[in-house]
Parts: sequence; structure tokens; C-alpha cells
Amino acid sequence: MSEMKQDNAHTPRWGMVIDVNRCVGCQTCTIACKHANDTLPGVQWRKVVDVEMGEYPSVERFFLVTGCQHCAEPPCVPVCPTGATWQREDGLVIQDYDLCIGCAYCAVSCPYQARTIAHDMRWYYGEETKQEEAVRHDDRLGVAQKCTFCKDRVDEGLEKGLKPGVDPEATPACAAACISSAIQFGDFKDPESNVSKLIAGPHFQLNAELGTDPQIKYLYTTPAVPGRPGGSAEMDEERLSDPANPLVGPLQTLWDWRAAMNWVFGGIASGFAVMAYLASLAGAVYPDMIPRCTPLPAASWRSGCSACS
Amino acid sequence: MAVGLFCVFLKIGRKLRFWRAVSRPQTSWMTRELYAVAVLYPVVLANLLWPSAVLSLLGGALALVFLWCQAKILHRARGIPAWRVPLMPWMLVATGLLEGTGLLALLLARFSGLGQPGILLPVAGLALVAVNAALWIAYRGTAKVEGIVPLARRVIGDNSLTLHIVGHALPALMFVLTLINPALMQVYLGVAGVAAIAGGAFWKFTIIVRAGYQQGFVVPAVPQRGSGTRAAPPRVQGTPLRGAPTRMKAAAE
Repeated sequence: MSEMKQDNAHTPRWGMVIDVNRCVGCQTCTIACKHANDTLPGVQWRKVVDVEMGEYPSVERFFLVTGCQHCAEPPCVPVCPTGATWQREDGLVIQDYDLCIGCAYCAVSCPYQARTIAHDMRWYYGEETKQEEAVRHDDRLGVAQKCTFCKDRVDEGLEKGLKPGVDPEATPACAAACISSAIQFGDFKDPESNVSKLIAGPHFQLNAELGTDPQIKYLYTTPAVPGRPGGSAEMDEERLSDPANPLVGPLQTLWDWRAAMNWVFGGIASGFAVMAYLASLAGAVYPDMIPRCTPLPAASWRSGCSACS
Repeated sequence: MAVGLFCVFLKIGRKLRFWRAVSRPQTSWMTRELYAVAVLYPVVLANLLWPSAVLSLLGGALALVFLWCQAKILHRARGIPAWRVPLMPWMLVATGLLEGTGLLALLLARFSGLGQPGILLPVAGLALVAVNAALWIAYRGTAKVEGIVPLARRVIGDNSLTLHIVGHALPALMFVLTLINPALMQVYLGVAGVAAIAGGAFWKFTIIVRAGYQQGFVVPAVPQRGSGTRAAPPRVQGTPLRGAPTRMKAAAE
């Protein structure tokens, strides 16, 4: 199942640890991601959310690095009708562009806003540059896309005998590029790995209450300064109703009126079939009065059946 | 159903690959929906050609399966708090049955030769309206507890009155009038049918298109830094500086 070479005795469980105290919001990770993965304008696999809390003069600002969390229980995998989204043995949630039909079911199933669909090619400078031409990915158009934890870098690094999370060449671009070492990548199954050691202390997972067991874990304390509870205590109804608040989810647009029509027409038709059957059992509908297409002898095919004509 | 599925076909990004959606019946309700349709259509066609009680039963059962698949598709979309609540599948099934009753009432009102509604249809319609109204009230009432985000709750609240009037009160009134005054049954049933269908379509459109706010980020703990009451407390004595340059360690000592 796994694409990568690995020791049979130990299947890693790749994940990230992000230190909120260390992140300075420089966006180097987002640029490194774009550079490594050639994402289109407006498509960000790695995002840095700029969070401001409190009211003057008691205010606080921090940065939350997000993206695909490569959940241990990914909600996007079971819903996919084609098998384009699947999970490797090492935990990476993979998107197969050649199988995906772009139905966006995975995107509306992801509680981390990690997936997107670009239907058209876009250029950073109005028209396609030579660099964009060299790295364009037509296979990503019209299908779901998301962070891969730079699986190609990880797999190729392993083949070269490098250690992901330690050797930059085998580490996801965002983690390798982070100027403050806020993003750490490694194997959660290895107790000696950097990430395992880091989560020995206080840490949290985003939207943990949904049971997805995301594999990006966040540190929020320093040895000298403990953190404090956040969650709903930090945000009142007014803040949660503010579309400009980066912690508030935006309105999804991938399932538009066309998707709604499926539920409208499908509900009417299937409900009708059920109720018509029950009504016929109760005698409220006369099945014999329903026009029917009766099979005709071959000689009569041209003239059609009596019900249709 | 075909019209609805065609609308979905118009939405997908890679239309020529649509057939791949049959690949995951093990886990995907979207695939299961397609399988239900793939069996239902031949059964309906066969029942039109060779009417039989078995085929009718099979058709009704498959339609119910299709309805349940649709309900679960929305319920499994866990990124949208307004969709993933436990009541959602039951609301979609109850609404589908009410809409189906509405269409049946409309047809019986228009083509009287198709059947005789008697008291069964209006009573069934009234019961379904009551169930739908109760489910909606429960959905709205538990929205906050179930984690539906405030922006979505606002949309739900803003559209509740319209739904109650068009989708619940009007069809209920018409079904009652059908029972009271059967002489004008065709008019009442026709209006009830249109209202039931309109109400169902209205709330589905509202929930899917207008209340489909994505899950935000719940940060259960935050660093302690900033200004005023959010300023970091005095440094815990004796704690080393983690990863700090040597000169900073020396200064601290």
C-alpha cells in the first residue's frame, strides 16, 4: 500500500509539531510550500492564520499554521466515491489527481478547510511565465488538492537514506524553511524523534472534539511561561459571528445550487415513489389507471405503444 | 432524481470521469446513492412494463434507500457544522416523504382518475407536516449545543418563519380543509402539494447553499503573551531559556 520504502519492522507515523510561541508569522512556510508544490494563485496548501484576541489595552496576537492535518481518522477518506483520497500506512492522506472527479465531497467533509478545487488555470502576473509553464500541473485542474506533507521529498529522502525531520532535503518544505524552527516534522511512532519529544509537554490539536485525531500538534507554552485556556472562553458570540475573524469558517461555495438541486429533486422523486407505493397499498391510488408502456409485437414498434401515443 | 443527478454532474470538475463515482460502495454514501439509482430505474421500468406487487415493493424500498443515501451524504460532510448534526438525516427523510406526499396530492388533485385520496392522504400529510415541523424546531433549538456556528444559526433563524408558514402551516391548513370540506378537495390538495414541495426545497436550498459555513478553528489553549491582562506573567524562576542563544542564557544567569 505504501509508496515508500520502509523497514517492515517499523512503519512511521509522520506528523508535525508546531510551536505557536515560536511562529512569527513571516509566511516563509507558505512561500516555501508554493515554491515546492507549484500551487496556483489563491491556492494555499499551507496557511498561516493571523489571530488577534482581546480588547485594547489587553490584546494578544499569535499565528496559527494550518493545512491538511493528515488526520489519523480522516473524514475525507471514507466519503470519497472514487477512492482518489486514501491513507498510506505511514498515515499520510493522499490525493490521487487521476482518480478524482472533483465532486468536492472531501472538501466539505474536511473540518480544517484544507482542501480546495481550482477549475481554471491562473497566473501570478496576468499571463503564464516561463517558470509557470515549466511547472504547470494540468492534472490538478478540476480536482481536489491539498497539502501532501511533501510526500515526494519524504519518500525520495528515505530512498537516499536520509531521515525526514532531520535532513532538510527529506523534510516537508515548510518545516525545512521555517526561520524559527516553529514547524517540526517527524515520526510520532519513534519515541526518540524530535516530534515525540516535543509533545511530551503540553500541546493541543485543532478541533480535537471532532474525533479526527489530527497529526499536527501545537505547542503553546514555554518552560517559563505557561499558556492559558482558549476555546470558547476566548471568543464570545460576537467574535464568532464576525466573518473577518480568521478563526471563523467561511461559507463553502463548492456545493452550490446545483448540488442543492440533487437533494431537492431527489427528495421529491424518492419520497413520491415511497408514498405512491404506500398509497397504492391503502387503495388511495389506482395502479391500473397509470399509463403504462406495454411490450408490443415487433411489427407494431413503429406505431408505438398505446399509452405513449 | 435524474434531474438532480444531472445537476450534480454539471458541478463536478472532471465530468468525463463521472463513472468513477461507483468505485467506493464500501464507505461512500455518494457511491451507494448511485447504486440505488442504478437498480431503481430498471425496477421502475420493469414495473411499468410488467406490473407486479413484488416490483412495486422493490421500487418503493429502493426509493427509500436512495432517500437514506442522500440523507447520509449530507450528514457525513463533517466539515460543515450545519450539516453534520444527528438530526439531519431524519430531517431529509421526513422532508422527502412530505415532498413526495405533496407531489402525490398535486397529481391526485390534477388527475382525479388516478385515485381517491379519501382521508388517508390528508391525514398522512398532516402527520408528516407535524414531524417535519418538530424536527426543524428541534434542529434550530439544539443548533448551538450541536456546534452549529453563529453565522449559520443566524441564517437558520432568519428563514425559520418563512419555512414554518410556507412549508408547515400552509400545507397543514390545506390538509385540514381537505378533511373538513372534501368538495373543494382538488383545490386544497393542489395548494398543499405545492406548499409542501416549496417548503422542502426552500429549507434544503437554505441549509446547503446559505448556511453551509465551514468549521472554524477551535484553539483550546493559547500562549500567554500580549499586553494588559494578557501580558505574560513573571518568568517562572529557575526555568532555562529553551533554545536561546548562549549570550541570552548568560544574561539571564
